[in-house]
Amino acid sequence: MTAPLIDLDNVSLTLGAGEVRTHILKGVSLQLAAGESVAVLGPSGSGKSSLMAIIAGLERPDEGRVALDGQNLAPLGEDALARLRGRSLGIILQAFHLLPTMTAIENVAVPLELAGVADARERARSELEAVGLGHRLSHYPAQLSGGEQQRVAIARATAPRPKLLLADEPTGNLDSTTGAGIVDLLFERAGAAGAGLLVITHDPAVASRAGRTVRMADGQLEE
Amino acid sequence: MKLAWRLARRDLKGGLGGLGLLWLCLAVAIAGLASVTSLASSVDRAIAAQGRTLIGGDLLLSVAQREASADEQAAIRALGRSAKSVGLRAMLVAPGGESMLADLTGADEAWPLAGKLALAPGGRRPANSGEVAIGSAAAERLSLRVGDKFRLGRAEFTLAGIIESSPREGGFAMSPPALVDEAGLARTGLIQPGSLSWTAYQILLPAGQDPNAAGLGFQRRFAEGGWRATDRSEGGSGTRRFVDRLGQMLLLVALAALAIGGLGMASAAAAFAASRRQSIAILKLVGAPRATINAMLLVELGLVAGLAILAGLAVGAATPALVASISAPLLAVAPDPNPQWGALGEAALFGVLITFAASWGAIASASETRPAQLLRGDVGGSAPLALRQRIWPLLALGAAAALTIASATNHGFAASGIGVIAVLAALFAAIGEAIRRIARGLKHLGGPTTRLGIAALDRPGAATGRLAVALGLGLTLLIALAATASSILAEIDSSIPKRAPALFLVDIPRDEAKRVKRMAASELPGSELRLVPALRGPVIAVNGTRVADIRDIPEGAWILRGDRGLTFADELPPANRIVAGEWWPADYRGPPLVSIDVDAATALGLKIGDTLTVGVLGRPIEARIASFRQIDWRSMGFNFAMVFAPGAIDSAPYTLMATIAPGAAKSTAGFERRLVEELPMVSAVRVAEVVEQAKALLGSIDGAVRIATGFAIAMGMIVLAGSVVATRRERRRDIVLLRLVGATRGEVARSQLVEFSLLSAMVAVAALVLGVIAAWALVTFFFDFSFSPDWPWLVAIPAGAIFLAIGAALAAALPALNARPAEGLRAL
Repeated sequence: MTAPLIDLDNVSLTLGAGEVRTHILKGVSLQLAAGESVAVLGPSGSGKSSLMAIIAGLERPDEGRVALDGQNLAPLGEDALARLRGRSLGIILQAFHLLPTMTAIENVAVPLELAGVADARERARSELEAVGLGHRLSHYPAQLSGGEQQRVAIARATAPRPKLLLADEPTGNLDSTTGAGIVDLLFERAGAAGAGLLVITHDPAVASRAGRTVRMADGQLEE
Repeated sequence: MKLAWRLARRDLKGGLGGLGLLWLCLAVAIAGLASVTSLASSVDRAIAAQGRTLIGGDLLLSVAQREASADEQAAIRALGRSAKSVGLRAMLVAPGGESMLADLTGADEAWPLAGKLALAPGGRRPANSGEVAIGSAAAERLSLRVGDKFRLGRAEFTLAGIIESSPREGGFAMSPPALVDEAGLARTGLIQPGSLSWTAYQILLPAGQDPNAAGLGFQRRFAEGGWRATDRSEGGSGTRRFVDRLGQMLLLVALAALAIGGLGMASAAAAFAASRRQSIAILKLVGAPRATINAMLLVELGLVAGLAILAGLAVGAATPALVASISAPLLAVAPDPNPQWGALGEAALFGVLITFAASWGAIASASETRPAQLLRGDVGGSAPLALRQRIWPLLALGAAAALTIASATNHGFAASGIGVIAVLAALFAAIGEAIRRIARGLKHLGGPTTRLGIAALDRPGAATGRLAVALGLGLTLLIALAATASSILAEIDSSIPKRAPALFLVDIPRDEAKRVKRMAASELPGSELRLVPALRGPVIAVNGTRVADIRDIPEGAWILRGDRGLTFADELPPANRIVAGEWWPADYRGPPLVSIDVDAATALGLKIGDTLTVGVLGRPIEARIASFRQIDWRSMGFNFAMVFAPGAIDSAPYTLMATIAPGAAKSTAGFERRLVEELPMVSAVRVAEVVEQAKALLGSIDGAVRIATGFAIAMGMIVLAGSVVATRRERRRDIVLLRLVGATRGEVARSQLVEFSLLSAMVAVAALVLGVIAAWALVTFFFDFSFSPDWPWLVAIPAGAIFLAIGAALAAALPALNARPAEGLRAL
């Protein structure tokens, strides 16, 4: 039996200290199989983004176990986690977070270059063409619209051919028409890559596109 | 590494993010440091290269008031080929009666053995006993041309040539040279028993022989002869001492500028790191390990720092050539105009260490940025640095300090300078903290714009402490230097005319004393004439230990160097005070006794009852130290460090020296004319001319140091402006919000004005107080002068600095002031 792509077992997370100490996640367990898509639906402040940070190895849980593609994240150092992200994960964020000093093709090429891929630029070009931005390769983020920037972010996430895509409110900064296009593209690219997809959203329409939806409220998951 | 280069190159496309300020601070600081160290090195190199031509041979042996004995001459001949010259002071008297003091040399035909006598076109070297060559300054002053006749000593000479340069040991020549041949010197009639002359032997040693060892060997063999040995590496030692001393002052200022620049660099590195946090978080998000991030940041920083260091080094490399072209008439040795690679290498290493020390904290903190912060939209905060990370900058600073101390010519001065800068920096950091506290207490005063200005001094992340150090350090140094220099110049201006005599007379035959007195009484009625016996001779042993055998002569023991003026007296000279031991009775006729200047005695660790042996005309005379005297050097009279009891040295031939204070008669011209007529062997030194030369020299040193200090202050202004630029985001937010709620541009500008005025005024007042206290201590305790600085100038310096600081800060804040609210809101 193959291990789940994401395996969270009774994970708890507390942030802050003293009087401002807040329990963000309370005993969360979640599995996601290879190629599966899951939407995490919930209101602001329910802990959705923290759940994603835990899965991506950006935060360490206070309790519980986190495994990604069968690998326990607990013993890994920061650099090992960074390499794991570069190899196995593609992350798409609400605010796009492209490097402002790099062109679209350079932004997409960065994770490939970090992974030592020889034809990084060529692959970045084909990824950008695949998201419909073949004509915007040399544009800087500031020269692109919000939708175009999110397409670049999707291309950057899928370029290393990860096993899992994580998307945190991918349409949060976009109008509804552009957002719908981005959701279509996200699911299409995840499907094309055969990658698992975990989408964090508060939009039921986006969640309905996923194979499975889980709800998050007050730091706890409900199937 | 290739990837780090690529990422760094792309990252830099987004702007320097504060590295521009780092470039400017580092380039200016390294330019200052490299210039100072290059200049010192270039003078050393020039002396090493020109030493032989400066002293006219490999070794120069000289002795006062006599020629070498037969044994000594044989020993000189055994060393190598030699040339002989006899030197003394002499009066040149123009046909119109105008006279001028000159350094007269009577040289044999072989002189000079190395280097050359350079004469102006149309002139030639004196070819017979009736000819003389004189320096261009004397020819100009006395309006003499080649072929003219004038008097020198007792004889008339024809001017054969005008000297442009000639080998002469020493740094600054106060009198122009005059050259005759040996027969010509005899014709002057100036060489009499007891004349204050010296005989010098230039020697060319066989190849491979060490001149220093040869000189020491000669001195040891004829230890009682009072010989002075100068080898080719010591040629121009006066210039070297002058440049060393000036260099030390400039090094202190350069280090202060570097410290200020370092603060600016730290601010710049912090701004750079803050500007890169977002990119770092994103890079980590997509899989970049910390090593790649660190490498990228270091490449960016290294590129900018490297270019800054190169720019600074370029200025440093050009400095010796620039100074050589400017200072040629002033210095006996022109600096080597070539780049001084050793000094430049040191400055570059220093630049690397300072860059590392100033920026490592910011870089290390930035590379700790956590990508999870992107999810919360907050990548601005910086985590506190681990202890391990704090040690590296401290080690780099320590290495930089050690490098400075090790490479300085005076290690103690460099170490004290670094100590002074560190203490001043700590004081101003404390003053900065005090300003923050004051601002905290006052921030509820006044209207909203005033409140905002005051509060800005204490806002989180405000660079108040850093700016207080950056502005205060240079300003304190400038005020201290200006107060010291103006006090010393005021002392020269006010005290010397009151106390100093108008004329010094040298080489008065002892049997002509009465005639000089009569002459003074008739030509200068009411004048005050003081006559003292004068001999010259070196100290050759201290408590029986030969000076030639003392390895390290202490810094203050200048009485052991070369010939010293000697005298004897039955009464304690005026302006002298006994501080230990006793003055001998007026009718003392016992074993030789001597009284010593207390400062020289302290430097040598002498006690009452110790013995000192001096060589007088080659004869050793051992005297017991009977007393120590505190000498008021400001009295400008004859102040001999060594005064003997009657009977100790007066059996040797000697001449008299005299000082004349003219009293009611203002002009000494008539007296001088009679003097050169009746006593042509007597040389007269006009005190006013010497004082003017000393003032001009002091003025030029003061000017150089002030310019350098101005440079340190400019650095402070750069740091201030840079800091304002670094906080422009916060400033823009405050300004936009103020304007949104109805503030005019004038009101907004006033808030900035309040902030900068308060900061710069408080720092300037502190700098004035600290600088004046430092100068008072220096002038009162070190120079032993009264503290009388130029107060209007002292107050003008901080006032000017306040205006400059406000101007620089407002200019840097202008873009934020001009921000339109709508634009600003979009950028927030």
